[in-house]
Amino acid sequence: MFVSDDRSAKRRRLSGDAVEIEDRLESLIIRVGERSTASLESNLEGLSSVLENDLVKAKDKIQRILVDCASKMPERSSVYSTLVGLLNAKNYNFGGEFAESLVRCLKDSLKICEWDKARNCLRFLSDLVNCHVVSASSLMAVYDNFLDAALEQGVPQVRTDWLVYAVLTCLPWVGRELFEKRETELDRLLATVSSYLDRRSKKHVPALRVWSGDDPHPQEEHLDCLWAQISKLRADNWQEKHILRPYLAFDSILSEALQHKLPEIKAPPHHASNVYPQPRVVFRMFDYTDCPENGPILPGSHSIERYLIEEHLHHILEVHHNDRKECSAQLLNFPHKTKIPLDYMIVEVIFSELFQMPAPRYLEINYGCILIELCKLQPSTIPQVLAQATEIMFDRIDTMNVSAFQRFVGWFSYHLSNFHFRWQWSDWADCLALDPEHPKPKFVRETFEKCLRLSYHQRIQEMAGQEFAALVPVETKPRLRYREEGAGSLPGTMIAHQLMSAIKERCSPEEAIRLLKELHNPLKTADDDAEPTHNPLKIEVFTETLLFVGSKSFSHAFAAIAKFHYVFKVLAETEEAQICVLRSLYNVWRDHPQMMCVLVDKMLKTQIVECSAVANWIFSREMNADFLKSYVWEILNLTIRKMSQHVHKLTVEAAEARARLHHDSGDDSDSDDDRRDRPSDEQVERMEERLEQAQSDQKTLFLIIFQRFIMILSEHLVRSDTDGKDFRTHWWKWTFGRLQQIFMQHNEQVHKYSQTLETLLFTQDLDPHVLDAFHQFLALRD
Amino acid sequence: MNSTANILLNLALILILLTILVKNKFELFSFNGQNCNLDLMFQKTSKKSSSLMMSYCDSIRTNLHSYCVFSSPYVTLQPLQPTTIIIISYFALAGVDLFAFELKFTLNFDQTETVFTVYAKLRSNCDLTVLRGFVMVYLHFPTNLTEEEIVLQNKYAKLRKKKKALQALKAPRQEPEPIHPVKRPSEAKDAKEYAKKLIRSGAIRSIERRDDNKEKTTFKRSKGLERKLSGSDRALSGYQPFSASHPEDEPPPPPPAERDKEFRPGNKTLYDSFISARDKEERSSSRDVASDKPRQGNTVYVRGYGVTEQLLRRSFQKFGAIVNISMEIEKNCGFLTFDKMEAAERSIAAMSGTTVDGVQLQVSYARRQPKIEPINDASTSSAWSTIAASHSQKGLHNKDQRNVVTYDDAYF
Repeated sequence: MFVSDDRSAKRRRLSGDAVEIEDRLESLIIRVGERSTASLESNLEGLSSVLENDLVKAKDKIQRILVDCASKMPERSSVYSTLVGLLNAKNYNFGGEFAESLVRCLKDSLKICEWDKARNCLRFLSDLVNCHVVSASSLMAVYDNFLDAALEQGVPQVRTDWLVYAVLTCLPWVGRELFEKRETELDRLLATVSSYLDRRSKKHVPALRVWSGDDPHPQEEHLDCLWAQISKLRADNWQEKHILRPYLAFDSILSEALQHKLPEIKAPPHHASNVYPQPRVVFRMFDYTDCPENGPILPGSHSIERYLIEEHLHHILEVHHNDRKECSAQLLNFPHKTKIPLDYMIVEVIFSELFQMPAPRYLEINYGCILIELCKLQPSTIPQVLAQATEIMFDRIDTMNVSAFQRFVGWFSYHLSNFHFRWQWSDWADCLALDPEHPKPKFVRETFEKCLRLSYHQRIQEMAGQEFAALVPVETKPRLRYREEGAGSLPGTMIAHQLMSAIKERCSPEEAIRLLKELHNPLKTADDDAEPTHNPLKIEVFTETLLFVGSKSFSHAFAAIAKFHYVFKVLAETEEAQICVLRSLYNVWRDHPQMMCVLVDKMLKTQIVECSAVANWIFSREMNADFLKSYVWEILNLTIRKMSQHVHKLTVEAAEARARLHHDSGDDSDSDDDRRDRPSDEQVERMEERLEQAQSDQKTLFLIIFQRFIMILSEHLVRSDTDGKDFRTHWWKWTFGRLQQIFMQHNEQVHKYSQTLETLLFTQDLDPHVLDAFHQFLALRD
Repeated sequence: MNSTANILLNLALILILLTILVKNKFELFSFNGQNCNLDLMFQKTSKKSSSLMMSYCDSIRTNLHSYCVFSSPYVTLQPLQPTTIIIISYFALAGVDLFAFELKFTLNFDQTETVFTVYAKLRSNCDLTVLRGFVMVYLHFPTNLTEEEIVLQNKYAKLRKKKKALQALKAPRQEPEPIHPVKRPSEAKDAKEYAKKLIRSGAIRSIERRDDNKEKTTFKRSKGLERKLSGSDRALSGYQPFSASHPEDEPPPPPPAERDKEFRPGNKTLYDSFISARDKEERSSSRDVASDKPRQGNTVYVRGYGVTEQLLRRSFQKFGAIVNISMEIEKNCGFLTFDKMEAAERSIAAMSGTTVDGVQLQVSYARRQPKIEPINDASTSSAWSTIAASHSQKGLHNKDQRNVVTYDDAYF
């Protein structure tokens, strides 16, 4: 499993024996923590004596493997720390050299911003104190350095937060030892942490919470939560029951070993380009009362075990997320599975990742797949826990943030589609009496809409039954106003019918344009000679007729657009004209949200409409009726994404071209091939111009979107104020939530323009409620 | 490799015998069934020799990277001789679709003779005269074995001897198997030495000791231990639909005294202990834990010509609440899950052999019995559980009753 291509290549080069030994050592070391017939202790002892013999020959190799294990397998760190401890007891020099290379690894990871790896290294160093490899005082010095850096002023809080977090996560491992040996210093350290935590800003918290309410489970800021857990551990005299501590068995051997002093480790100074881990809020859904009474007890939210188990489960997800089968098997095979209600913890951890703000680590469907796999592997419990979780989340959906709501709808409909669309809807019948914009009925309606995409109308009707029929979306049929009753009086009806038969007889785009010529322009007034930039009637007749003819499937519609692309380009040059196209699209397909999304995407791709046109269309009056529906935001988000991808592509291209240009100019002796590939100065310049254009388009897009948001939200606030009503209506909650969603989902792109946004839009005179969304977003990186 | 072999099987072509008189040369041959100078011959080979061939080829492939070896499992193994590579690059069978592929396989020949043979075979009753095509044969005959080859040859011969010896001993533990010449050629030496050790003393003693200790016996484990061993790894062992919600505790560690005895310093034992643990996991996983439990439960199996879901629902709901129905319409049967065991029992007693709407029903307990006890009060739970537990999810439920949409109007 560890044989890669370059290694097998190496094997051929090196002499057989040496490689064989090294490979064997590697496989022995890597597998030492795995399940085995012998006890872990005897394996460790055996392995340490083997390694001791080979230290002479393969010291570097052993060291490298051990450092790798230490930094990449946090779940087995105590196994390896014990091994290092045993080796140190036998060979003092090796212990010192190992600590040195681990420190080097830590420093390197800090330098290149690999925060998790750095944290693993620090934790391993801490664990080495338990194994008498490293002296407690020198570890305290490292912690002090970290905390000193955390108290530094004028650096982003995400940086200082990480430093404190890194130190705190070591304490479950080494707390007891420090408490016994260095109590006063430990107390001082904890006092520093406590004062740091009191002072830090928590502006980001509201935007990151999945539920705005704290009932029944407080949704705490992750550092605060960890602090509470550490404080409780401290109150328990640093006793915990979760961590495997194989070194206890070797106490007599280890205690005789000499300890090393760690060199000074300082966090490298802040640099503007550093990206730090974003702040988080802990997601809590279950407590012990939710779990079966006769089963094991769920650790409380402030017990350190909860943190340790969750951390381990997150790690399993990280390592295996690409392989759903392996991932679910590993999750269910968790080492301490009998001591905890594992099913509940897995489900909570997976949902916490799915709902993670600003964005989940992996694709949403990834989590859906893993959950289904878990159901199959453990059908007796997991499906039931999931059903319970769904009930709980639905119950608390009033306070769920809009992004999480969206992901919940996505997951639930996906899950239902894998379980024969079976659900006890009647349990939720209460929600039918509520305001249709209330989150509960809205959730059901949006779920039906998503299910419809995964199934068909009749099936969804059956699933919903009579009771929920009102929430089932109407059948997805195209509309054409020129075929409806009373169409005769519409100005374009005749041409529309001619056009339809022309299209069916496979007319050319030019012929279509010729047919449309007869339509007069309603924008043109008698006393104005200037020709209007576009003809809305032409656009309407053409777009609606064409889409109607091509309504049979996505492919038909795509083919139609491809064939008549030229007509679109001729008719809709300006933004207003493009908005007319989108409006016509809506007229035909208003009952088929998925088709709208797909077609807008297509039109963006084929450059029939521009991103800014889509944004303006969404905020236009015509879309008011659908403004709160999810698909509208799906369209807006896909538009922003399209823009970002475009900018990204150009950025990469321009950077590559520039690099090639520089590379070549520095080297006179290129071959002809290189010369031919080399871009000219003009080419590079043109590329950069295009990039600048795209960036300015992107900026404009964000400006349009946020400006519209500010307008409608402020307008709402003023209106509520004059009417003397509470502004917190459903409309406000959804719209504000969508604003937050855009900040969160596109935080990387928006961040580039945050300066501009601050000076142009989010100025101090804005209503604090609206301004809050912006500040919360800024706090993600601050 | 297997897929190529499958192509062969599917196209009903397996064995060709070529006789070629060539030495120290590259040659290109083409033949056309009837009038070529190549003989065709049928040859059946036993499974044993073909598997031996496979492992031999694998060992060559993994050790000699410069050689590409393909082996059809039907090629017989000749006495070990210098290795040659033949690439047969194109076959065509008249009446069978043309297919092009590359066949690479080793063959062994007797160096004392200038004639050597390769076997391939047509499985079905194809007329051999219609076999047409050409075979490109690249032959390279080294006059002497290279050092590498000699070493390999000796090593393989030894390994085989050891393997046979071990099989003769019928050692219950499969330790020699992890030789895995395929995956870890570098371990072959280990395994060989280990095998030697086993024969001399170690294995036998260790087996005897294990025999003394009932807990550790491998051939006939007590059922409890069996379950424990597999239980500890249940989640990993693939699909385990009806396992208990919380598997039993892991097997207790052996008493310290025994542990000490078992443990001998030195990497071989250490290595061994890792590997055997893995082996056991794999072995235990393949066993069906709950196979011999008395058949009982909430789910009944109904068979009858022309049964429908509606019919089942109508005629069975009087016995109790039906949690799930899954139909296999094509097989004229269906599975019903009740919420209570008694309901299932009563329905079997009452309905078996009766005729409903002209359909004669046979009702019995389903072979798979989802053991689902509600652990919370979410009402959909049991339905989801049953669905998750049912093996085939395809086409069970609602038959799609929509009209077929036609896409024949291509205007664009």
